Amino acid sequence: MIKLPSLEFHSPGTLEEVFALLATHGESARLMGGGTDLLPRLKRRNAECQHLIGLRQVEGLGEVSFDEGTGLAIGATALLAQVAELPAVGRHYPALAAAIDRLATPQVRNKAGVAGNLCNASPCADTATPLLAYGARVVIASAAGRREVGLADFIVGPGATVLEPGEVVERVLVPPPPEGLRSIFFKFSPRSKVDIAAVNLTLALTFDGERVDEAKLCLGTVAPTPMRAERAEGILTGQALDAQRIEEAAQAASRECQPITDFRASEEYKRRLVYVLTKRALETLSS
Amino acid sequence: MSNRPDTLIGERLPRPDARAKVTGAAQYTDDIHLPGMLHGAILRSPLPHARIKSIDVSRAKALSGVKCVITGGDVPAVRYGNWRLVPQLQDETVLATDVVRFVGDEVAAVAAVDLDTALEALDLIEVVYEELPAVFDVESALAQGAQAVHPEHPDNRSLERKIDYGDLEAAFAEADYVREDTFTTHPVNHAYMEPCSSVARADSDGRITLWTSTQTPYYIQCLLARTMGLRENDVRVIKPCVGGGFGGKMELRPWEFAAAWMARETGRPVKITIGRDEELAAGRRRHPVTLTSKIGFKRDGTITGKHLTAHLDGGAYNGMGPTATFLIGNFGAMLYRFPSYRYDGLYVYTNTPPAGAMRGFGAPQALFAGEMQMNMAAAELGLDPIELRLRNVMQTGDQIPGVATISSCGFRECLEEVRALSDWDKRRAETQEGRALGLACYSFISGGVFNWFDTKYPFSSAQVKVFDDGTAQLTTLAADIGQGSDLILVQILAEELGLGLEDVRLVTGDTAACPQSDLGTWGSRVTLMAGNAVRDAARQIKERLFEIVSLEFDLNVIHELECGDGHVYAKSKPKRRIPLAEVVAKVQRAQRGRPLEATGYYTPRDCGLVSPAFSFGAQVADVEVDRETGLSEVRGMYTVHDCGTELNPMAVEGQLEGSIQMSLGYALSERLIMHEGRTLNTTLLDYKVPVAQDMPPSISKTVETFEPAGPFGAKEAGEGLACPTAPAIAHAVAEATGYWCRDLPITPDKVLAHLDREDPD
Repeated sequence: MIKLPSLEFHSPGTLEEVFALLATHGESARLMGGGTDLLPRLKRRNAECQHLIGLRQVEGLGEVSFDEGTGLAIGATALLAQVAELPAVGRHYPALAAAIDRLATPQVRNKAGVAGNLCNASPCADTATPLLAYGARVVIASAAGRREVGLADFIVGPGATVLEPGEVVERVLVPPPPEGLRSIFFKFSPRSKVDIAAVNLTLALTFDGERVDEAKLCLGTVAPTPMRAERAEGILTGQALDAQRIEEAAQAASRECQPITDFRASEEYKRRLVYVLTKRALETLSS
Repeated sequence: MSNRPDTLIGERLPRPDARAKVTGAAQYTDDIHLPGMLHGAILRSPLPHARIKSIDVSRAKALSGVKCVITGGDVPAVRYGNWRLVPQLQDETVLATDVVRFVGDEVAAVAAVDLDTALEALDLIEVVYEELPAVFDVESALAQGAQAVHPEHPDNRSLERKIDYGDLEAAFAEADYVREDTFTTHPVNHAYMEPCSSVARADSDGRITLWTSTQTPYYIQCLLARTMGLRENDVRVIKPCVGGGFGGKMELRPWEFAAAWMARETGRPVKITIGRDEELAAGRRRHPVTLTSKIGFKRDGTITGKHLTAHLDGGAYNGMGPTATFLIGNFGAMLYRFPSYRYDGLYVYTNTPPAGAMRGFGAPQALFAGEMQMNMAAAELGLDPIELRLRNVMQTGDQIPGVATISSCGFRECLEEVRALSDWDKRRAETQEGRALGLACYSFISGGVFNWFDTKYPFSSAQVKVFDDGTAQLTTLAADIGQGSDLILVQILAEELGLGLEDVRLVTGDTAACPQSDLGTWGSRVTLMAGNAVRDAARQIKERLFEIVSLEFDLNVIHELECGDGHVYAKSKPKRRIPLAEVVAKVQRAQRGRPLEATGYYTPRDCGLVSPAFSFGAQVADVEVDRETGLSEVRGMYTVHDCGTELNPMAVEGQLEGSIQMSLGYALSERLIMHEGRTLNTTLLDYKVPVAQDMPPSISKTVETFEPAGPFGAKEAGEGLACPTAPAIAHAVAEATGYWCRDLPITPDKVLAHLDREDPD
């Protein structure tokens, strides 16, 4: 039997109150969105804190909006289900919609949020690879003001982000997609439907005629952080997607990722999956 | 009653408890809250094998809110186990006395005012261990000089079982084709929806009432009494709604004892609910088995003989392992005619969590080996796998010498029907990249005959009372744990008495209220055994009813009487009928007020060593393998089975659905990942039970047989079905990729490794 350790729960109504709580409790406090990941980890003693600051009641953090000019803005406590339901997400960011659709179950998607998924900084976070591919930026607020960090720089290691003491993620901004962007999300797991990813991946391409103008290949679960496969991207950029090019890029991605063997899958098998999924993603987007 | 069809047998009857379960109204053990109730928790060993040097509970006891702490030193060091017939096989104590033998072995228990306090107290118990060398698998446990798990068994061999008939040497000599293969199966968890839970209350006179999530209230009553030093009648066990057991809840478990003992110590009720993490890390599991099978065939496919060797990894204690060791040998001899057969079964101790009974109990392992080997042989002999089986099928009247007689068998029909149902011949003639059909079959028992519990009571009992308002009450300890047996037993009684289902009140699950006794739910025994006990009671009741009606109409003695439509009537003169309520009133008048009641019994006698009846079936899996990722996905299941008379087809279908779900997991995704005795995946995130979305389409059919030993011709349905799915899927994978799985589960990396070897580019 596992239970939450004893802790104090705070439910502030404004960001100012959050800052004040963080200032008072310092390192003994943790921020929580839906808690779908943090609470089980606290129960299993894989995380600890004495003060849990729930963000759900904080004014103005729960909204999701899309604007043709500025793109998608996802509030820190907006639910995954809320994001997926926004028609603009399916239209402009299909890989993000697909990633949310494959993330856990409806129950979890009605509880968990995008910001929380990113702040957990798990190498296998399903929303990380599409947001990386779409060039998402994270807006960080603190008593001292605001700063913006690109998602690639936000997650720095397994479970680690650039958040400093006293800082809170306020929202995630995703720029409007460039003209003609094609993107796709793939996830492989041994239980076919509801499962944690053995490997996940987002490919986003813009074309200049037949040739790839810009390529973004983002891989999850195969490195300490969700990563860009830059060598594979380099192989694709400026080239037409023929069978040989696809093969080379898939092999490069498989080589440049850094998976580890764990009980979910071996390093060798994860590399193979990166190869297969990259190839399939390229074949799908080139057809 | 008014809309009752002529017969309830074969009707599609939905479960009367479905609404309560779906809406949450059904009461499970953990839903019970008694005034003043304490909450308990169990301290478990963090080491696979260690001597306990000392235990200091003083800090735990001093914690505010803690009411009781017990260790092995505080309670009787009684050895217990289900194998009462052979006391030396009872090797477990409720709490470790001097040595812990697996990670999760129960060391101490705490009761406190709330669960938080109890869990906090666990952290304050200081145990000093001296770690001992440990053995984690059969091979190392049997090695020369290996560490003994129990000093009484220095070679770690707990039990051997042999079966031997015919002349095996001659059989292999006359064979045109002999093959020998070794298969291994893996440990899996029952993953029942309701984790174990117990609530105990001690009365002021020292008697114990225990509400517990169990399949076997009678066993718990007997063994709890023994471990507490009480008489059996001083222990009352009540079984609330149970959310599945699958064999995992048929032994006395330490928390049942700890709750009862601490309730007596404190004078307050104690609840202990086991977490999913504990269930996965330390709960009973399906035996991992290494099976070596040697089989001989004539050129035409006729089997000449078989030699099966099975080494069971039993974990740290025997539990139900001896039964599994027996049963694998029996299941290995089923399905086909083996003119000669030898079985060498060996149960081995290791420092891993003890295995136990689990749906199929030995059959999933024995049939994985047996059915895979039949398919391999068919491929080598150039015979269709169905043809090869048809040349060897068991038939009604066949005997396994000294073990069993097959009193009804529709196996041949199952094979022929599944061939048509799955479009087998056409699908096998086409070749489809990465997609193929696979076949496997099963035979299973309808309850066990062997009295390893050494009960002095009948195997099943049922008391029936009939009232003068025309209703009846059935009281039985037969345990519905979610399989739906309550409905089946009510259905059988309603059928016998000509009543509607709503006219029968069922009282069950209470050792103090139900007739002695019923062995509970295991081995697919309830429908046949408790069903026969119900019929026995009903026959006695009907005898009294018929006497009165015969007298009333002055019937010639040659008339047969029947119950139907709420009446008792002469069969050939149906107008001579009296409402049941009136007949009951007349019986009571004749008996000067004594109520009309009878108790029926069933104990299997003179039917070998295994079971009174055997079911059969054949299953085809349609599997697609992604040749690049190695992932196997089941696209369809086709099942044809012989369960005798289908009493309630809806219940049979439910069993089939559930067995496919469970076996998909066994075949493809479920496994307890072990490292040096420790279970690594102790959450349902990483212990991958298939979910609803993973379920393939399924088509099924039953073939009609009539089992003379079963009520209305019925026999087992649902447990045997859990056996063919894994080998059928494995066969389909082999047909699709050339990869013959010999070590379950079939994971993508194994398939891929094979494809890489075949085609290095």
